[in-house]
Amino acid sequence: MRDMYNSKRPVFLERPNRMQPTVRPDKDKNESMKQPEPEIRLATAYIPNQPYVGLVPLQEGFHRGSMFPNLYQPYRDWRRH
Amino acid sequence: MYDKKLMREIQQLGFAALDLNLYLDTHPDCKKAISDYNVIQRQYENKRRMYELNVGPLVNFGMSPSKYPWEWLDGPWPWENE
Repeated sequence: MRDMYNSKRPVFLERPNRMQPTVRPDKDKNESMKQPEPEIRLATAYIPNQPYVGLVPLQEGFHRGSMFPNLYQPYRDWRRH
Repeated sequence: MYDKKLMREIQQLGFAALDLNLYLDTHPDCKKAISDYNVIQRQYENKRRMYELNVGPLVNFGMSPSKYPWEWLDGPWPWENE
């Protein structure tokens, strides 16, 4: 269980031996079928690894709702409202 | 006497500790996160102790003894604030 968090690749909870791409960009004639990461299967939800880059100041994090600078993706800057 | 500033610091430290708790659940081997967690947890504990010593209990039971009369009822309650 613990090891699955160490992988740099996306975590596959089911059938880790079946990571063959379902889309093969080099063989697909349609350009729009090309995928940037062909090892990622379609119709599967992924949570990429979150690297630890330290914390924002306590006050800032409390206001934002996250202590992690790389998780902060507001629609708008709250300081302007 | 109720200390709003100290209470806010406790809330901020509690939030930071909780957020690190969530990170560490999925990254249990991250030494930097554990060391940050331990720093924050110590500050959290100190501030809570300071509050309970100078102001009153932070939770209704289990964390600190009570003087007479039952201290938990001492205000201000949220609707009495300001």
